[in-house]
Amino acid sequence: MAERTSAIEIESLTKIYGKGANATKAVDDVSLDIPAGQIIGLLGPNGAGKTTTIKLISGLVTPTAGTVRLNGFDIRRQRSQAVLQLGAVLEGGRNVYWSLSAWQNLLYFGRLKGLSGKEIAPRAERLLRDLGLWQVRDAQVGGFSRGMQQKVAVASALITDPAFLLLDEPTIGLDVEAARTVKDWIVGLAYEQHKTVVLTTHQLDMAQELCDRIAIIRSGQIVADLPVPELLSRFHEDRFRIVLGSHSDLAGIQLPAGSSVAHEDGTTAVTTAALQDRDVYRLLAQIGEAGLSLRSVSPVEPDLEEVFLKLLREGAPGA
Amino acid sequence: MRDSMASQIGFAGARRSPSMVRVLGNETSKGLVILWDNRRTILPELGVLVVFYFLIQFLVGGGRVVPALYAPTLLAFSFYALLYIATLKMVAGTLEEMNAGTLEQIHLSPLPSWALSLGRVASAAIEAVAVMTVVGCALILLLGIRFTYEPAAVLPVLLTVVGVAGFGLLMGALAIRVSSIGAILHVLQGIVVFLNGSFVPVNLYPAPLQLIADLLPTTLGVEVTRKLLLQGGSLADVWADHSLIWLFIHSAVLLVLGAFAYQLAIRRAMRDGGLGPR
Repeated sequence: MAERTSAIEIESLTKIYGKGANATKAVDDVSLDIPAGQIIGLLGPNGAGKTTTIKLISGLVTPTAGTVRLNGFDIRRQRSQAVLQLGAVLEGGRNVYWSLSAWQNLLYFGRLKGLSGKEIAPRAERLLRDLGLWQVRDAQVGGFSRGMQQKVAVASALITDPAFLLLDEPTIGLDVEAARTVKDWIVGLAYEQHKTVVLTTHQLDMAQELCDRIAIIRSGQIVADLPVPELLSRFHEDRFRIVLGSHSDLAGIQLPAGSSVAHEDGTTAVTTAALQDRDVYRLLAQIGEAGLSLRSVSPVEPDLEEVFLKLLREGAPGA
Repeated sequence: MRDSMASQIGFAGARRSPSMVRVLGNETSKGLVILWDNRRTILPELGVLVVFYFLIQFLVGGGRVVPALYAPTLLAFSFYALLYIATLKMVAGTLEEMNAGTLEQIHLSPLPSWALSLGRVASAAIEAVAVMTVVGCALILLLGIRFTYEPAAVLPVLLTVVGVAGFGLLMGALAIRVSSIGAILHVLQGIVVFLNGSFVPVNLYPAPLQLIADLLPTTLGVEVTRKLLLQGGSLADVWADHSLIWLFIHSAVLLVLGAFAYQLAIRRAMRDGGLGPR
């Protein structure tokens, strides 16, 4: 038998809501193989199918077609074993009981998944101490700040030490410090404990910082699925940033089409569109002839936000 | 910072399904903690029920209060109070959990939804029994009502609680699927209080209405309990006239039907993506 290398196997996953003329295809033939210990980010605009995909993976939404296997367990046919593999923090809800304390929430969710009180207590203590909630463990979660409530939700998802963590917008509404704590956790869980993390977010800088791999979803379909460096390199273009001294007058310079000019901090920055080498030299020659002071010339590296927007506008170049 | 956090949390992880007893205990204790947190809402509920009972007395007495009607109507009204609170808590609790996203979290458990729902309905039933007992005792003391205290009456009361729990599950299932559940619940609660004997004995209604009344939750329980507490009957009597057997069957069917409907509603909600916040 072939050795299974993927921790999460998603095959031809499709979800259609409604019937007939009212049918909406929320997820369209999505296939992903996610190895253990990987952080994969699902990115896409609102309504692209990210949340539905997360709920399909967790078995909270029944697929129209396709399969999801968690450590080899089919989420539909072997649901009991499959759900024991995962913890989830879902977007749009509180995820925990505000009438209960942080401690009672961890106790409740631990028992719900088969742990005894004795097993839960030391785990809950470690989680709450590490998240800085130990001192307020007996206070009602409803009285916590948004960031603290989100920490309780993350701790509840982790109380059973699941192999997979599904995080739908985990830092939404959090302040900078709380978001940083959650981000550190995500990285630690993947790299130190070899947990597999699937996260959705609209914060592209966060996705670029955290994820090993990005899958971009548009209209229910995956339009790109690549490791982050590869995704960025595929969209690399020979664009340049040319910085000139002081507020330079560019009236006599013939800038290539698609260039932008910005005046900042006493300098003038020209960002070009993709250029051939000869066009760069031609432009620099014009600058020299005009007697403008050249400070620097550097290639422009695309960030995930640019790639994301480009993909949504134009589609994927073989990605 | 990472070293001091995630690296220390090396758990073995849950690898087994919880037992039914643990799930029931877990759900019930959660429900009771939430109930205690909502204790301020129970006092007004008690007050409303007591006022409602007095209004019924004026109605059935033709504008006067007739002491002879206290006992028979109170028995039926107490069972109505049981149903009123149990169904209200099931519907409100289910809707609250859907909107909070905790219903989805609960269904990340390895257990089937009907098993999870039993814990929920158990805590609703405990609250309802507590309210029924307080309302009943308060009115007995206030009005000086006399009953024959027959311990065997515990049996039909328990069977009625089981039936009401089943009905509560049915309402919970409807809450998941139907957005106008509030209106439906009020209508059904109204039909029950009108037909279960809180106003007039069921045997005074025309035969078709009696049949409908007997199909509703609490009516058979009221009849059997009334025979034991007000008419001096024994368990042997209610067994011999089959009323206890019918109550048993009725309650069992309601519970199974409720659990089935709840399971079906959850399955449909999963199909339509409707388990989470609306």
